[in-house]
Amino acid sequence: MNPLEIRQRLDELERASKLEKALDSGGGGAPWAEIVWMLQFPAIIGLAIQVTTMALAVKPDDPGPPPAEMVWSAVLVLPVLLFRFGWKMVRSPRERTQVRLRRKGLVVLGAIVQANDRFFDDDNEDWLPGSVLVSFDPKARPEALAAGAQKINALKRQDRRTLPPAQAALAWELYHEMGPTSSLPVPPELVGGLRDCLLVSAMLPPEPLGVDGCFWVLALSGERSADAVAVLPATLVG
Amino acid sequence: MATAEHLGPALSSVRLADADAVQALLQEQRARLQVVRDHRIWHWFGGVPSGFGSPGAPLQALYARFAGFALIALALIVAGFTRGPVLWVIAALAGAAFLRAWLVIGPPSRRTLQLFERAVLVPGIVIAYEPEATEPDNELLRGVWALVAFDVKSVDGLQRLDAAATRLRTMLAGTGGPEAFLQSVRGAIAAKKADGSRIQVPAELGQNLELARLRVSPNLLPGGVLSSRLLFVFADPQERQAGHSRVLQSSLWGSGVDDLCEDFPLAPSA
Repeated sequence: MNPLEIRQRLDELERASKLEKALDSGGGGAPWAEIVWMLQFPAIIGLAIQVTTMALAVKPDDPGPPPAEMVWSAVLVLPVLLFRFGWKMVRSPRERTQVRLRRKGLVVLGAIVQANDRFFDDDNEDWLPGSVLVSFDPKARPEALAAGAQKINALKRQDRRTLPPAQAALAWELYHEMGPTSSLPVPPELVGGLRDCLLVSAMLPPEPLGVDGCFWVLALSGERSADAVAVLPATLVG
Repeated sequence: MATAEHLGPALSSVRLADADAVQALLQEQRARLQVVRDHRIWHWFGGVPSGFGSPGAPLQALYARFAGFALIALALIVAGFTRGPVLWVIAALAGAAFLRAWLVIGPPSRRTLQLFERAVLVPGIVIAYEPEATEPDNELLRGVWALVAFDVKSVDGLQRLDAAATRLRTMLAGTGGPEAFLQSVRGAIAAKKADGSRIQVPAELGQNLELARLRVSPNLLPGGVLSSRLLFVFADPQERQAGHSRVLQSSLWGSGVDDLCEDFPLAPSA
């Protein structure tokens, strides 16, 4: 599959509301925004009851429903509108980034720089943390990216005092092994001249959607948040 | 990265005999704390909230929020039938549920974050511990009492702290020293008082020393068991009250720290 076909597949899954679950590596919080969205239904029920009761109470001689009932009906419309259109405001910044990622993320190549040891076990079935080299450069090829990932990995064991600042930052990121952290720019000289490369902290699915030793990553261009990247699992096209 | 503390060697083994490596380790510890703070990845410090209020607070807050939403849903339906007291009681209950959630989680979270922003990692030398803390199959939090110093910046400082801990251990065994202080320490150890607080140590034992009364989870320690008298304590320099000193997972103590801990084998408990 090429990136375009993968993106189309992701769009299909997103439309079917299945992409969020497919990319979920666990550890997310409670879905408060979705709960707020669901509140529109009791609000509609309450409004319907009010309107029905009001209509049934009207006698043939009455000029119309009492004004108080009309006002109360109008008041009950407010929560319907609020929950129907305002639920997105309850989303956390993390959730907003993830929604943007699913809808507008680019499918780009990634290569493992380092990963939790368990990731390489044959029987691993868990999503595990790792550091991934991602390139937004259209000229990026799997071989070049894999070579770049190895070169970056070698920085981890070097004395950071002897490295240029950008490389020292990459070396420190790999050395401390704590995450998730924001993505770091990778200097072109480390990746064979490729532009727009990032070292990202990501959760790796047990079986990533791979291509020639690398794999496909969904990433938002220009964003450094760890939530703006997702390594695609092979199950997406299964 | 606001500091240059991350600019150091890649450590694989730190030994007491290597003063430069020890200094680099202490610098690395500061840089590691900064990473957690910069990226707000608080789970590396034990999560928010932790150590203040009830351990069940996050779950209580979750239940209270769910109850709040359920009551809002109920109120919206009831609003179709009545505008009377029943509606306003349900609405008030919904508000109370959200208030409860905030009260349960808000203040402890604020105190935890305050600690996480201010605390530093300081070396501690264990002077007493619950015997179960040294058992390999122990999985429970155990009391550990350690002498800590905020001004240790080198091997010399570490050795001075160790010597002071040896003196204190000897005094606790019954020979001389500031009797009132020693009595209070003996009492705390006997009563297993280990609440994450610290007390000032009299100057005759050494300058700027404090005794930390820690509750330590074995899986946080190198090797998963208390086997070294050296540990690193995450302590708030401005606050000695309960919960303001704790032991973080040993990955935050720095790379190669296991060997340094080996150089400080565990001594018998006072």
